[in-house]
Amino acid sequence: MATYETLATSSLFFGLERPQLEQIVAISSVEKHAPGTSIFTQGSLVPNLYVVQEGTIKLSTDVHLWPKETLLRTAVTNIGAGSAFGWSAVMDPPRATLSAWTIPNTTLVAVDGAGLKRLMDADCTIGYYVMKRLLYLVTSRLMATRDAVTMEQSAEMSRQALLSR
Amino acid sequence: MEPFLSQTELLFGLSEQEIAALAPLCHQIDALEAATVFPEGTPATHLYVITEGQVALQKSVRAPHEVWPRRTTVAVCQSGELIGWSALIAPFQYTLSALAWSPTTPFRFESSRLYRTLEAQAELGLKVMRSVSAGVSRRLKQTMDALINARELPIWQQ
Repeated sequence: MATYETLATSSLFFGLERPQLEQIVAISSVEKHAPGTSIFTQGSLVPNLYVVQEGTIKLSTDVHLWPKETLLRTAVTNIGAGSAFGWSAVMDPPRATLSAWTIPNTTLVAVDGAGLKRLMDADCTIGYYVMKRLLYLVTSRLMATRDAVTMEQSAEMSRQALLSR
Repeated sequence: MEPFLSQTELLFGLSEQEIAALAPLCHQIDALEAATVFPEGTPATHLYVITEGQVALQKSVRAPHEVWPRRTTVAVCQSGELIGWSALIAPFQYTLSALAWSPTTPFRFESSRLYRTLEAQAELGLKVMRSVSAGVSRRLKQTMDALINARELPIWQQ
């Protein structure tokens, strides 16, 4: 699938007009990654915002335990074709809030974060539209994480109830 | 009102003219009305800015062994923070309940008027959406910390 089609049908850029989308294509490139490849790690600077063209990405949250630097990685959600991730690339500062890994062979469209920010500021119609979609994306991520927390709490309540019998 | 709004999570960094454009859309509600700021699952008609006190964001959780759900607090918000951003995002329905833990008289924006204003002024819309996204991003970080605490043990390790 061509870069244009991937972006045009993605959750983030769907609905933009062709000339607007072509400006985003101009600052994008295609990346192919093997299974288990780290795209970025939590806390690192994120240069690109990504759209999954093919494959699946696992988003996780990491904790480095002191003193052995053991890494605890907790899965938050998996995302597939058409979904975007790495939205921190257009935030200030552009630091990843999650880590991203490929699961199978994965093809991504990488949109240059700094370039997209410049484009959004120069053309506020694009900027406002993309930021609205981005807000939806961040909120979806928050709700997925929140659901994971409440599921844990619900399971804990059940465990406590069983123990008290 | 405007000096306070200029320091809030929603409007920080906006020019005086931009804040002046949004101020008429904002009204303060009394403490009694704000006891339950909004309940989960209802239409998100307003976006709120907390002026004082604490407001708890709660989610209904029902354990498999229980008949009735109970509420669990997922965040406690303070003065200057924004709550109810579902008012700006389809399907425009509150995903949590907001309950005042102490007397508070929040400012609130009627969502449809705010949305129309942002749609008509893309530059202002971009700035406001950036602020809201930054606020949601901070909340996401707090929620991830809560997830780690809840799980205590790793799902998988490297």
